[in-house]
Amino acid sequence: MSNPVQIVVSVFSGGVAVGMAATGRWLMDERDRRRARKEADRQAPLKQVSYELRVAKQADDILQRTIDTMVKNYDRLEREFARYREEAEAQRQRDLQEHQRQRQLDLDELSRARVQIGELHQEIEDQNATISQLKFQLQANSSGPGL
Amino acid sequence: MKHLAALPRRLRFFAEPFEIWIALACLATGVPAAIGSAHPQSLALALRDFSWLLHAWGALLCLGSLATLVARWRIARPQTELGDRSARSLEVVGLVTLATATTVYAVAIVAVGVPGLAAGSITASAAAACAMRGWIVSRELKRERQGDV
Repeated sequence: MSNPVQIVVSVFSGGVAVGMAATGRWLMDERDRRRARKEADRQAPLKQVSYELRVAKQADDILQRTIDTMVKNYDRLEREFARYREEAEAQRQRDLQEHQRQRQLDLDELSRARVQIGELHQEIEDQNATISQLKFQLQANSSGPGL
Repeated sequence: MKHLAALPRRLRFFAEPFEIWIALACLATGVPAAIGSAHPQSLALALRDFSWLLHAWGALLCLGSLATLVARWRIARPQTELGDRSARSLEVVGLVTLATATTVYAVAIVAVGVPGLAAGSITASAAAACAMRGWIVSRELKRERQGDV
């Protein structure tokens, strides 16, 4: 084996050894990269599910708040309607009582008027009797001598 | 590789220009040597009794060139930190391989005699540049790995 060949073989061997070591390093780095990529791919659906769950929870919260607000509004409206019905009933009762009182007053007034009418009729009859009596006396007096 | 961000995307592949051109030249030299269609005369003379070494040298040139080019292409692309580290490890593999192959060629040229000194020194410079660059990158990678632990 000549001298250049020895050098070449030595350089070759050394270079291949260093290259093998570098290749080993590269293979480890490549393995790490692939693992990280695989892990990222594996976690991608989980992240998607996580996002979906988060969105679903937000939607659920919004729906729950909406329902709570609607229930509160319904309770308030129900209370207001009950109060309105009570007030309307009370007003109706007051109107009815007022109407009955007014009717009673009218009836009393009518009775009094009837009594007065009766008295007036009686008075008229009395006056008529008086007039008749006076007419009779007048006739009796006028049919006498010299008149 | 922070300086990559300052370059336009189409130039990022050439962020380390000497690597690309040396790798292309080595690929152009290595393919005929690997398939046995053409060999450098100096190397064929030095390894006349070991023809398989000529093929191995060609294969080494091809592998180193391809590894370097692929690594530079991967580095130029946007990617994760681990992807960048893996690409630079591959760059070290390519550079070490190219440094070995060019050193072998430089030795073969210098072995011709005094006329081969000039050409041999240029080839040796390319080998030294590859080795130096490989050492710098492997040092950066070592520091990064230590930082991770």
